Amino acid sequence: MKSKIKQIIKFEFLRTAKTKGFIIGVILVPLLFLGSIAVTAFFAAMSNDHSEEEITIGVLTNEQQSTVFREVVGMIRIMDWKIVESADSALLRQMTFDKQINGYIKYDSVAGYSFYSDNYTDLYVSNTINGIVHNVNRHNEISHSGLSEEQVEKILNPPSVNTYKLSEEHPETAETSDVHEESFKRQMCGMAFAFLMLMSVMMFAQNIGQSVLEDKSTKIVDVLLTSVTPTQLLTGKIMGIGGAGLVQFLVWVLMAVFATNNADVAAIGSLSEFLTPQLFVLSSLYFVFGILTVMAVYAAIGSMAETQQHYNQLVSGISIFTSLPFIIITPVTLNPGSTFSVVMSMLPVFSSSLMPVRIIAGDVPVWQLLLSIVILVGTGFMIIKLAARIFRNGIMQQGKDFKFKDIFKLMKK
Amino acid sequence: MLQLNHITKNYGSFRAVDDLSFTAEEGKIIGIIGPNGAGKSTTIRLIMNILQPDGGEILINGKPYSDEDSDQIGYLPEERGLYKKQKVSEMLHYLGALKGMTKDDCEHQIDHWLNRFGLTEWKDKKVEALSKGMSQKIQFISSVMHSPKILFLDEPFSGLDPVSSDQLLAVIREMKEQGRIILFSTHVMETAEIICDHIIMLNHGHKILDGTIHDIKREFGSDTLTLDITGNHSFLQGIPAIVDVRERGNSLNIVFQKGTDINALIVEIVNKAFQNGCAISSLKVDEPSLHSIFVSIAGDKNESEPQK
Repeated sequence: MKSKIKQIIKFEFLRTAKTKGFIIGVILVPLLFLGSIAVTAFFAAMSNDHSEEEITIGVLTNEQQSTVFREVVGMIRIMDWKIVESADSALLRQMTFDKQINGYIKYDSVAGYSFYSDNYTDLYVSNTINGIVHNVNRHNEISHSGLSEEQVEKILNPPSVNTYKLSEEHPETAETSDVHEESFKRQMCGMAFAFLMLMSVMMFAQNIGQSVLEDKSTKIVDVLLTSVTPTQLLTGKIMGIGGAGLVQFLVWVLMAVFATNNADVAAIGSLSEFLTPQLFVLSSLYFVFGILTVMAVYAAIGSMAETQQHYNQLVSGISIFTSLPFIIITPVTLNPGSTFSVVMSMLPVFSSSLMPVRIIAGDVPVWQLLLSIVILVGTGFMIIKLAARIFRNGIMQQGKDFKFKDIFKLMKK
Repeated sequence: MLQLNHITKNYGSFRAVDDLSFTAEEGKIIGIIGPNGAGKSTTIRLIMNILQPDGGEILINGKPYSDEDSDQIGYLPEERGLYKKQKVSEMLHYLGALKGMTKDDCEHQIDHWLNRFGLTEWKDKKVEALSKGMSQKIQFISSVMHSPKILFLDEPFSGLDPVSSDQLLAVIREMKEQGRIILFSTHVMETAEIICDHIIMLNHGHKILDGTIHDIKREFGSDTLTLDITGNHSFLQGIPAIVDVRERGNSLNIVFQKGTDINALIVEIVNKAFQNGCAISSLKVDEPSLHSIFVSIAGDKNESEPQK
C-alpha cells in the first residue's frame, strides 16, 4: 500500500511541477517581486534627488527685514539657489504661477517667516527653507546668550548615543555594530522571507483544493478509490503537491540569496549574512508543517465542493485565517520581541511565517522555538486528522450542496 | 465468486440499498439494471469498496474484502474519469501503477491494448485531444490492463460507434471465457439482453428481479409478436387484445395483453390484414423483451411503492 502512496506523490508532484504555470511562477514571480521593489526605490530616489534641479526663490523685501532674515537669505544663496528680490508681492505671486520661481519668502514681525508656493506635494523646498530658518535663528539666539563658543558648539551638536548589540557568545565583550542599519536590514529580510513563505503556502494550498475539486467533478475519484483509500489519496496529493511547493520556496530563497550576494539592493546591502543554515533548517521545518496543515484544510474543502463556484464559496469561510498572517507580519517585523509577537509566533496558523521573521530579527530563546514547533506539529496533526475525516466523508458524496457549517457534520466518524 | 449478503446502505434517513443479496460467478456477465434512483450506483460503489455498507457483507471468494482485492477489481465508470491535461500513456501508467503493475508491465499492456483498439498513434497525445469514443476506449483500457478478476462496466458502449462497440463486445466476451466476473450496468435493455447471462434488477433500493435472461422471459411469458407487413396496418389498433404497436425498422412489434390466446390473435391479424389489402411476409411470436419486462415491473413498482 505504501508504494501506492509513492505513486500518487510522484504523479501529483510531476503534474504540478511540469506545468508552464509552475515554471513561470518559480522564476518570474521573484523577479517581478524584486523588480517592483527596485523600480519603486529607483523612482523614489529620483523624485528625492534635487541635485540637478535649478531652484529659484523669491524674496519679498520690506522695511521689516531683520538681520536674521538677511542671514537666512544668505544661507539660501550658499545652497546654489537663485534669489529674486522684489518689494512687489503681486509680481512674486505671478512669477510663482508662471513657474519662474519655486515660491517666495517674506518676513514680518507679526506673522514671522512665511513661504508661498503653488506646489503642495514637493516639500523639499519648503522643508529646506524651514530647516535654514530654524538653524539660523537657533544659532543666533544661542550666540547672543553670552555662552562661550565651546558651549555653543555643545548645544548645537549634542552628543549622540552609541548603540551596542550584546551577544551571549561573548559575555565579556560586546559586539559593536550599526544597529539601526542592521535592524532595518533584518526587518526587510524577515518581511521578504515571510511573504515568500506565505505566498508559497497559499499558492499550493489553492493547488490542492483545485486538484481535489477536479477529481470529484470529473468523477476520476471513483476510479482512484477503487485502487486506494481516501486517506492514501489525500496523503499522496498533499505530499506530492506540497513537495512542489517546497521546491518552489527553496528556489525562491536561493534566488534571493544569489541576488543579494551579487547586487546591493538600494539602502539595504547584502542580506545573505542573515540567511544562515540554521534559518534554512528551521524555516523548512516550519514551512513543511505549515503547508501540510493548510493544504489538508483546502483539500477537505475541495472534497465538499461540486463546482468551482461552490468551492469559492466554501473557501471564503476560511479566508480570514489565511489573510491574517499577511497583516500581522508588519507589526511582528517591527517589534519581534513584543508580547504580541511572541504570542502570535506560537499560534499554529501564524508560526510558520512569523517565527522565521523573529529568527532573522534576532535571538529567539530556544524554549520559544521548541514550544512553537511542538504546538505547530501537534495542532497540525490534529487538523490534518480532522481534515482527512472531512475529505473521506466528503469525497464520496456526489450532488450534495454542502455549506461551510457542514464541515462539523463531516468531521464525525 | 462475488457475494453480496443482505447489504444495506443509508444516506441519513434515506435507504439507498435495502437488504440486497446476489451472487456473481466466474465466467458470467451479470447485468445490474434499474430505473434512475434505483440504487445501482450505490451498489456499484459498495462492490468497488468506494463506500462501506451499513449492514451485511460483501465477500470475494468467501472472504471479506481486503486491500489486496483492490488490485483485482477493474472499474469503468459511466463518466470519463481521466485527467484532460495528461498524456494518454501517462494516465494509463498512473492508473496501472495504482493497481500494482510494474512499469514494464504497464508499458507492455498499454501498447497491446492501444494497438488492439487502433489508438497507438494517440499514445503521447493529451487526453483532451481525444474524441468521446476514443476516451471511452482509453478508459476501458485502464480498467482491464491489469487483468482484473472482477470487472465492472457502467455503460461501456456510451459514445462508441457500431464498429468500436463490436470491438469492445468481443473483448468482454473474451474476458468472460477467461473466467472473469463481469458486472454490467446499462439503461439500454437491448444491450443487456444481448450481452448478459444473468440479470439483477433494482428498484427503490430493492432487488426485484434475479435470474437468467431465459428464466426471466419464461416467467413473464410471451407478449409480443414481430410482424412484417406491407400496406395500411392501422387496423391493428382496432384489435382489442393488442396493447401497443411499435415500429422497429421495417417490422412491427405488437404487444398484446397477458393471457391472450395467441393462436386466435394470429388468425384475427391475418384475416384483417387480408380484408385491408395488406400482405404479410413474416409473423413470429417473440419472447418478452427485457425492455417491456423492465417497464412493466418498474412502472408497477413505482405506482405501488410509497415514496421514501
